[in-house]
Amino acid sequence: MTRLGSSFSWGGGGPPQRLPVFLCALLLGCQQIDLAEEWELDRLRLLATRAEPAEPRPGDPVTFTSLVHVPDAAPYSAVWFGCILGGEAGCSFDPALLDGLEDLASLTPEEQAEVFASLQEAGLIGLEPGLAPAWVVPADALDGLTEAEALEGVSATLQITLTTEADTELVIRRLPVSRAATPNSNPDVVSLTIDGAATVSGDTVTVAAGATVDLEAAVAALEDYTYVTTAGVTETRTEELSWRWYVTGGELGGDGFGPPGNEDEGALASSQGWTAPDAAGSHVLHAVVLDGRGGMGWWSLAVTVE
Amino acid sequence: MAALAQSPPAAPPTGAPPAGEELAPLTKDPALVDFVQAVYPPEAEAAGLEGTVRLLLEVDETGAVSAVTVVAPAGSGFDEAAVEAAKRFRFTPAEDASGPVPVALEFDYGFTLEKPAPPPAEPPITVEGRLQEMATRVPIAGAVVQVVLGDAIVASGTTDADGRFALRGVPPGALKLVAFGPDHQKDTVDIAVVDGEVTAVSLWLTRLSYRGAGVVGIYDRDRPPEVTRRTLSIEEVRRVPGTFGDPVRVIQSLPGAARAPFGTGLLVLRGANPQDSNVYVDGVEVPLVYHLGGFRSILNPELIASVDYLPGTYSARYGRSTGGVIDVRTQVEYPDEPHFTWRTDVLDTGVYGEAKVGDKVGVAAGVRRSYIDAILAVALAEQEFYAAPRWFDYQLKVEALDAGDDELSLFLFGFQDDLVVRTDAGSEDQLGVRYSTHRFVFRWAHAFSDTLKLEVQPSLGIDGTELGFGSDVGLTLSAYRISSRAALTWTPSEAFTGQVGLDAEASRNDFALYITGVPVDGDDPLSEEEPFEIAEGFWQGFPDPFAEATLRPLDDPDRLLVVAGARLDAVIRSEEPIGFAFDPRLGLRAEILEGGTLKAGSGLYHQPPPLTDLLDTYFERAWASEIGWEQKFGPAVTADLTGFYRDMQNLGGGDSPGVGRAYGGEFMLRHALVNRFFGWVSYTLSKSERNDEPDNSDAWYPFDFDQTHILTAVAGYRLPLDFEVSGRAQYVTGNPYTPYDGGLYLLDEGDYIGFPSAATNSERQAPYYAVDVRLSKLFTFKHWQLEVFSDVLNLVHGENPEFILYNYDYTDSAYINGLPTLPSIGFQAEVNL
Repeated sequence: MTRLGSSFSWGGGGPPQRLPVFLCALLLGCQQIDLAEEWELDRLRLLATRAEPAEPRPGDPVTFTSLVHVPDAAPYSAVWFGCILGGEAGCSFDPALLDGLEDLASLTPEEQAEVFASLQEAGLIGLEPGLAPAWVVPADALDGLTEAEALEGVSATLQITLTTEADTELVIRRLPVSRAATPNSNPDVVSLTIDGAATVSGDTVTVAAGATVDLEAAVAALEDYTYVTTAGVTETRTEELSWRWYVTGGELGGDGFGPPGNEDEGALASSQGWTAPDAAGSHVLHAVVLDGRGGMGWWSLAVTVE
Repeated sequence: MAALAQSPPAAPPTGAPPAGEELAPLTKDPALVDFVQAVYPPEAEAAGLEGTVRLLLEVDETGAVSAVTVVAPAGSGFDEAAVEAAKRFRFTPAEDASGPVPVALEFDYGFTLEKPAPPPAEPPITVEGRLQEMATRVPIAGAVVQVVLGDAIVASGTTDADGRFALRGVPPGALKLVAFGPDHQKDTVDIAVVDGEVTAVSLWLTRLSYRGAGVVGIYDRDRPPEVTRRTLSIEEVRRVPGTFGDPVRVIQSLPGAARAPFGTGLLVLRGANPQDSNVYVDGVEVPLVYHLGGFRSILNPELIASVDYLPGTYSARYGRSTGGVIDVRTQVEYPDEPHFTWRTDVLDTGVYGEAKVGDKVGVAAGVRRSYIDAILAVALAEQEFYAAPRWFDYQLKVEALDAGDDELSLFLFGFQDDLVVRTDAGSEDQLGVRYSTHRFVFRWAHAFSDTLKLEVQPSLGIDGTELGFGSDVGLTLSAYRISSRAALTWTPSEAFTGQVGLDAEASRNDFALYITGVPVDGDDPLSEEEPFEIAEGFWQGFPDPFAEATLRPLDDPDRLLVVAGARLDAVIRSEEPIGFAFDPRLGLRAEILEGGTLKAGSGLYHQPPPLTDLLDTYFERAWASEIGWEQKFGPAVTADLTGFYRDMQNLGGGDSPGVGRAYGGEFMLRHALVNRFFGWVSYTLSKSERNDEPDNSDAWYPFDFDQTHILTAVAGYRLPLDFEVSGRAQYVTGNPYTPYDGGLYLLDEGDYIGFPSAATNSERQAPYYAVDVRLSKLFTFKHWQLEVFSDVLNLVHGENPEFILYNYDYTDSAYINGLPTLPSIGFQAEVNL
């Protein structure tokens, strides 16, 4: 996805002034702009994080698994913080606390424990490698809410910082916490086919160099859930999925028009064309699905192009 | 006419010796050398009387008349007149053998009335006819018409006001008739003159040039006074390259106007935000001056008489804006015969006509429709997504041409713009945007006397905006406007003009918004969504009175002009307290040196909040000042140097309003259309910046369109045969932008928030430069004219970044550059029926 960098204010008694600028960008948008696409994996990326359970209650322990792309399998670290009332910028804590992590190896075990204690008090829930992210939802997470509000729940904030020697990725992820009678569960990708041929997640498949193949990933079913509107009306809703495709090479989108992330909302399956690189090599390909309620799942393949 | 005739001496002179002496015989008679005309007695002349008076003149030895005696009177005043004249006669002295001697002689002084000479016998008219101008059919007055036989001119004459001529005495035979005039090409036709018959000739001459003599950037005394008005005359500015023939677009080649990104048509005057400048058509405010895309203004060019470009310190007649003012003026000079114009180029096609209906009513009408969207649909047939503007506009003006002390007119105009968005190859859907504006203007002016005039101009208007994105989002905004301008002008003398007036508007504003799903908790990306629908409406009003005094105190009224005015701004909105503001303004123009005029102005300007702040009635305000010098160098060259400063306060209103400032200098050196050449160089040096934390002096940052240097050169030359070539070169500092480096990934949204890597608008895009050229040729036929033109935009150009794009995570960026070299062609036909 590309973004318009300038900002313009709306105003005046007439039509919004932003529109002409938007129009101009569209008119000029026929130009070939060669910027990296979101689906193209060429740097450190956190593509998905799956929480179990997907919608915990207060006091529940939660574990996390992540889909991370690290170029050249370089070593990386991940620092996780969790909090109930986080803003768009993440959890609030004293950044100086992170300084202790830089010298962790030189500290005595007692000093390390002290640093960890301070960090955990500030919300640290994981430090990879070594300390897998895990969080016990604060028991008072829903205190002060009405019963109806507690059924709807709140969104906790997870702040994840991935670091390699060459790159840093800062990520904010939300985790719903509620007392819902039927809490959300993660969607599971049950299949990914290449030109109709089934694959096994994690396996390696082979594609001819320069070939264009049809990819299709699917989940087994969509979840229904109950929602009480602000007007007090109880509705049964069906979750709407969105899909994101990622690959380390080639061209996603068949004709080269692969929209970033290729969100295909509302369907059980997502199809995507992929043209393999002309050069032989090893690549990875991921299909990530989100249910819009905090649930995530994915299917990954190693692809050998020859 | 009366004339005098003298008679010869009635009797020979005689000597005047003492009594008893013998007179010696004269050896030389006196001779009259200085005759003096007598005054013909008026009563006698009126009565048609004639007469002769016999005088006795005594002439001394020097030849002077020493005494006059009436011997035979004629009465009726003749005697006195004759005596008075005769006293001043001089003679050669009479002589006898001893030398000069005094003598006495009788003289008959006759008074006769001159009879008019009988007219010579005039030969009969043998050749007659009429000269008219090609294409316009206008009679050519004052042209020379000659009949030639070989190298000899046998008859000659000139045409009268109706272009007619009549030649007499042309000999029979095969001859040539030649006609030419100071503004028209010579033409020759063969004629056959038959004895005893009248040969009729109808001849059409081609004007040397059909291009009008336009002017740009002069101070026009006949218009309402302004410190700096750059009045654009249409015939010239329509030929500026890059304007697509639209006179309004030439504003961007004048000092004080920032370059708008291609296709936006935004008005950025002296560093002001686009929404801070107001646009008027004949004093009636309209929301847009350009159609979507910025290619065309909203009026047919044929209807536009002038564009008042007031970049700052304008008079109290205008208000509700802290930036500049653009007032597009329409005027129609209805020809005796209907006149039609048809214009087509790559963007749109428009037709326009004007005619008299009887002797008392004039009607002008135009309509225009674009098709750039259809062209793009073909050109981008394989592209899944594109957006293109589509516009339509119309105008109808009806005026009373002979209403005595009254002026009456009705003006209906409007436009509709669509942003046509195609989302799938092969299918088109008008999701996107639609703007529409319609105005109905009635104008009545009445002169109560030579010094007192009332002008009233009420108008009705509708503005609509519709935004739609499929079935998910729909927004409609409607404004129903009633406005009125009224002014009572009193001009007791050339030294003073006083004006009081009202610039009022009331509007009903309705909006409705429908969104399929809005997060219940907007901050939470996991929040459930519910449909959102709202429909509200409110009234707002601006009953703004103003008063203005114009003083021209010196004997030469052009030497000093002082304009002092004030305006009361009020904003009334439903259920909100009324907001008031007061705008005093002062302007001065003084011709201090020959051809050199000092100009200065200062004033306060208030602007009500935009509709998006509908629950408020605050005013943004600006104190704008300017001082400058205009100098004429001969009849063609004018220079204009102006410095300006605008202090802006209360930006955005609320508890923590921002402040801003814009300052700089403007220079313009212009050569009017003289000797086939016109052109100008304009340069603007400016800085415009704002501060959202007024207490923090380090928080200033440039406005989005702050352009330090704007240099524009325009030149046009009229070649023979009605070819014309013109060019425009422009250099502009790149717009500021805020750089980003990386971002924070919001995993649930799949979106990044960029991290600014430097202060807001602290970086600049690369500068813009481009050269545009235009070539046109005018073909003239008996009843119509055809102009074929070609504009080549960006014949020479730089990369010209218009916008900066970041990739998905703000780790990479690229420019969207301006258009490449872009030729376009078109034609305009004008027909006189």
